[in-house]
Amino acid sequence: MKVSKIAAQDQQYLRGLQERDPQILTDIYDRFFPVFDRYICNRGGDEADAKDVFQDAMVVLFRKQQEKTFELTSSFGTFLVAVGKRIWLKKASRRVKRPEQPLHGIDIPQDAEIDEKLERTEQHRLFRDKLAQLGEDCKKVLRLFFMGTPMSEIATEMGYTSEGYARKRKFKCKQKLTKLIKSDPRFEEIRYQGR
Amino acid sequence: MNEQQAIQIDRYLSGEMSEEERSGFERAVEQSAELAAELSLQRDMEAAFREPEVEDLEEKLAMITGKTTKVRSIQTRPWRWIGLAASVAIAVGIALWMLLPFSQSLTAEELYAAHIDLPSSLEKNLAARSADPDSNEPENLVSQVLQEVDKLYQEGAYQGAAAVIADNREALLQSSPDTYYYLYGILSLQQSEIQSATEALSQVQSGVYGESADWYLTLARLRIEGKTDAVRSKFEQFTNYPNDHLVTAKKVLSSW
Repeated sequence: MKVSKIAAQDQQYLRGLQERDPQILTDIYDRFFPVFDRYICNRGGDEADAKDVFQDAMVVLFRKQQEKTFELTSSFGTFLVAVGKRIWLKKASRRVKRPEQPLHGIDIPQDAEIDEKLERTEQHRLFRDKLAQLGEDCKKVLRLFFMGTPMSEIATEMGYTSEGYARKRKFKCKQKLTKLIKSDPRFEEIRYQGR
Repeated sequence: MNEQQAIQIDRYLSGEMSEEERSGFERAVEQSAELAAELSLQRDMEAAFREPEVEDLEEKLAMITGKTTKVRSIQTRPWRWIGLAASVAIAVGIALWMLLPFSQSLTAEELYAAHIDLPSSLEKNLAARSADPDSNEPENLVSQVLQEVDKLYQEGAYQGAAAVIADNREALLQSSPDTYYYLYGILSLQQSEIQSATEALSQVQSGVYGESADWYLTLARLRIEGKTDAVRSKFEQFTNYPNDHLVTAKKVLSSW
């Protein structure tokens, strides 16, 4: 993230978001959520939708912050709300199953970039939700595997008789997870396509 | 997607293919949109679980916005975070603790009371076991005992549940020692028999109950041993990888 001339308050928000500081996250929510709520409730959504969009916008902004080239060119609030509007546009379009309509007069950050980050955020949430539905054994094997733990260590940690069994178990668990993911209506909604 | 292709994808992503196999597989991916989409899904799936910081952020945002089943009632600042952490404490009658700021150091007893969130049902474990066709454990006896214990457990009849486990001790120990020790440990915690819980949970080796047993054992040790370096180190371990207790472990450490 590049540091440019931004207001002290905005710097604090950016730092708080990067560090996932609960108090600053709360401050951001208190200050900007009413804008999300008003905007979305006036356009066919409700408070729950506004909360979803607020969360997604924060995660999208968090992901953008991880990029070395990220530079805040407007105020934090302006950017966050613009991202939120873009996200609501996507979600509302999906809901009524019609192509997105342009938002006249609204300064939306580069759409494709926001869309890609939103898609990733939604996919990953779906994956994690589904992992939580697996049995404890599968959950643990997959977590260890995804974190890059060697198979021999997974076998020891899980009390399996051999590395070969650990490998087989990991494969079966991944199959179960994949099946759960594909059977969730959100999978189609996100319209997962190979990139 | 057939099983053979799924195996190929798994071997490809795990780096288990020879150079020749890799080239062949990559050619197949170029020629099949279905295979390419599946490979992309599996890749993204792996990436999703290598983002503990995003998971942590989402958990915190869910709590702040009240979009979580655990905590829905959000009060106004600065009581919001106190309210979240204290919701468990209220249940065990530590109302006075609510008056303390969240970041203030708490005693071992207060920390234990605030974070000992025992399961309301053993149903999750039952479901996990029934959905797990590869379980090594003999199902009949264990399932029957679990169902009976869970029914009593949900009714709050902890002594009755403990009696059922005691009646089946030998058989359970023979067929599924982890199940025996885990259930015994949880029931002991429910009855505030912390020492017994510690002894039982420390016997759980791994597998289905491993992570949960380790978590409750760490909390029980906090209650018995106090805020020692060894106990703190156990909590820190839970913050090092994505797991069900990561956020709570961080909360414990923030009030250490």
